[in-house]
Amino acid sequence: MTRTLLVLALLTGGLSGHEVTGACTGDVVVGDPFDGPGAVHRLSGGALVPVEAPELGEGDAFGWSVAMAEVDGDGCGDLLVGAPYADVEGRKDAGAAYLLTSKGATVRLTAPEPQQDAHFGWTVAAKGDLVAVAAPYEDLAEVRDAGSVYVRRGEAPLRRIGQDSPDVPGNPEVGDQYGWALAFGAGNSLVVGVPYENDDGTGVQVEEGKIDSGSMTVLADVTAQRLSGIKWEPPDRATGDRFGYAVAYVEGSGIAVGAPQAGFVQLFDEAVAPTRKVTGEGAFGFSLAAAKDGRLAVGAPYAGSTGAVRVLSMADESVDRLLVPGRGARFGWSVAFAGNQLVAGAPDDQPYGTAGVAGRNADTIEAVKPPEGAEFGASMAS
Amino acid sequence: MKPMGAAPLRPTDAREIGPYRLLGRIGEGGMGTVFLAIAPTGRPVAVKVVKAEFANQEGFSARFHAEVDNARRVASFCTAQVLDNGNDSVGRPYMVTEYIAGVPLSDQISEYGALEPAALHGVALGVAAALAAIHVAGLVHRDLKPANVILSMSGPRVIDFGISRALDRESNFTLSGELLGSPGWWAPEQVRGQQVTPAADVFAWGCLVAFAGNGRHPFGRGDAITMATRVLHQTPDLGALPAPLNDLVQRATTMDPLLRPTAQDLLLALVGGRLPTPDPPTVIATDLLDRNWEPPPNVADTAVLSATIPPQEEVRRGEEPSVAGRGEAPQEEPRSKGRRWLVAAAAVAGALLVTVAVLLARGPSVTPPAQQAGGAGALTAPDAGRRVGLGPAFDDPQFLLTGRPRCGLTDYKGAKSSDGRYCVLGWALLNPGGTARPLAASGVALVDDRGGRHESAPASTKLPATIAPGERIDGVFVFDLPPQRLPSVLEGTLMEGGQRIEVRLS
Repeated sequence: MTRTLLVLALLTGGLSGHEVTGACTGDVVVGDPFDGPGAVHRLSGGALVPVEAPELGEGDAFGWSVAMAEVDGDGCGDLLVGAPYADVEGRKDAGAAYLLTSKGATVRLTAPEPQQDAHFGWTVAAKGDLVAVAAPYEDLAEVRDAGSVYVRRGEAPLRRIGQDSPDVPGNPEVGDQYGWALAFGAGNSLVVGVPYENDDGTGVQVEEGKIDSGSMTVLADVTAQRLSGIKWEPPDRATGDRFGYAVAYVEGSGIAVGAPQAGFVQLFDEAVAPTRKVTGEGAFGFSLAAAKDGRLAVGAPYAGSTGAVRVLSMADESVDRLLVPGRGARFGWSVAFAGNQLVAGAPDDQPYGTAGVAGRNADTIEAVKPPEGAEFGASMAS
Repeated sequence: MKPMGAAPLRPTDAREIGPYRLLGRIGEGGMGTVFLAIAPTGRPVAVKVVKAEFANQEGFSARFHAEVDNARRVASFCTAQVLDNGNDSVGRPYMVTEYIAGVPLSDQISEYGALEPAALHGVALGVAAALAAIHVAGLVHRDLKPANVILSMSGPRVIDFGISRALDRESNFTLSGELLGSPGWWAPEQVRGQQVTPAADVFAWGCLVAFAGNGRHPFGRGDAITMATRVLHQTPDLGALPAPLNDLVQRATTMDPLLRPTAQDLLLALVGGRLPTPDPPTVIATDLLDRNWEPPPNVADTAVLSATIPPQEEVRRGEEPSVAGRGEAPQEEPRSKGRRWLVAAAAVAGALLVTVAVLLARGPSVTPPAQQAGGAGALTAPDAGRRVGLGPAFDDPQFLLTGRPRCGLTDYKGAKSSDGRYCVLGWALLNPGGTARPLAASGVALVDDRGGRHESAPASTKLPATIAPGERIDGVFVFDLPPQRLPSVLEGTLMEGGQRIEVRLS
């Protein structure tokens, strides 16, 4: 009898839910927000390990967004997972985000004042124990879908930042959806992509001029008492560009911002001065990821019939590789670097979605598929 | 060519068990030993004697015989009919089945590689029929694997069913520590030690057909623990199988047992979905068998040798010529293969007629409580979980099938199906963009596998007038389909001014 139990324990993984054992550098977390109420896996050393989800409601879309934090100081990534359709305190779709530590603890984060349809958890970002969660559809008094970003360090209470906050560049307008894309930059700086920002001049505007052209803001230090930031919009912006749809920070090099409708990625240096603009097809700039060695991955999930990912280098213009899988669907919907490898999600791939893994110089893409799911690879982070 | 049949008896073996005279050893497993024997009637039989360590367990004998009594109710088409059971002279239980001369599928594949399509279809059909017969009798095989499928001249036969349940009360291990059963062929729920239902046999059917059609196990090779781990965590490599097997095998090897087709579903799909008509089923049945069973060439040769009696017994035969029946077996050889095929085919066709009529008339039974009434099954839709854009921009509203379409329901939320059976499609609509969009369902229909179009039933979710930025709407479409129709495509327009979508369901 004992032996049977031991065998079954080995087979089903006798450890609690999301406790992590073994080496965990180079892990990638992959979300599948439509696997029931949502599910998240950890891709660790080539093995796909399901992560035990907290108690969820139907249709919460847990895994819509994911990020890797480090809050308990054990050197093993802690997972930050968004569930933007979670109901909170009776408010439908207010949204929540979950911190699942490598030691097995679960912390549920919600907006201090949960608001119906705010979708808190739509986007998440983390750097060490600095954590940011966006609620882009949060209304601000009469301004519908102005959007807010919530940040905290360690276990401090969440701090709300919006375009109405003092010293934050920009004005809160209807439909801005502030916080759509987030990436921590150098130090405690935070890059915020606002792809649905309209532009028609100074002052408050509502649905006039260039609709959804987009903008990007870099907040210098989100832990500082007094905030400050720089806002940037493409000088040649056009309606619908969605500039700011995805953002990434490459350590030591600078910032990258995607405009997938227009089909370009704008690169900036550490002083937030524009350097290079790279164009591409198929919603080029839909997703972005940075590697420690200066490489940048750009997802173009609507390229061709499979989607594609382009690998560039912030510092070296000659680095330019295009990865196209032999088969797939929406490859490049999400991207992440893990050690030397590039991982890209193809969530519409049969049967449940795929994560494609490519070695640094390899030409082949290995497919990692879950045993079940729906949109595996819709989100990922490292 | 490897001689099949039996190895010589060992000096320590008994020479008789009950009224059966042992001729040789067919095999030995974790549970017991199987002998080739001759019945008093002269018929060759297989006698399985249980190991002493089991026989000594309290209550084992009673359980064993209860199981065998159950197994005797299983229709004999495509299985090895259970003939008798009893206790031997030292009290060990034994059971007697007809002896099937042929090549175990495991040996066939390892020696000759993957089956040709014709033989593969025959195996898929025969094993599905055997499972249907076993399940209708209220049993679960629990140990279906290629070694338990014998390719004989009269068709594939599934052996060795139903008895392992008697042993599985406390553990999957024998007292000496061997693992019982074959984890490489177990369904995930079996590996986890959860409740084993007929769906576990269907999973094994899928793996078996993939194995026979590709010449390799869908979960690769390895020891018991490795295989068991793979079954739990990996999707099987089903290779390339001819239609409709590719689809059926994929559905059969779904992780969730509730979503797999039943053995009857498989059987009906493989015989072309025809219902019994008042017109002679014999015509359909014989026709089916003629068209479906082509044993690989080596089976014919081997089947002849299977009836060979091991040398030591030939000597004994000289000493005891009075056992009349014994002479029968080798005398089969002079008969021409062609005639034997016809004789066997006619007998089997008769059995098929009975079996098919029984299976279809009785309808699905043995449904575990968790399954839907009416034998509902869920389908693996190719487009499940795929975001289908309702407009050209990447952030236009999107439609996704959530979960899997469930069909075969006789009623849904209080409404009763009038055409036959309901298919329920769960979905989500998303607006990942920045503008509210107007919704209007127009031309929403389900096209079935015969091309029939069906509009959505009133029980379907009504779409709201708009979908706000960031909003997610969950709902269902319900369609009333005639029985035995399978959904093929969902089509329609859901957004005002949007593009028409097509979502593949099978």
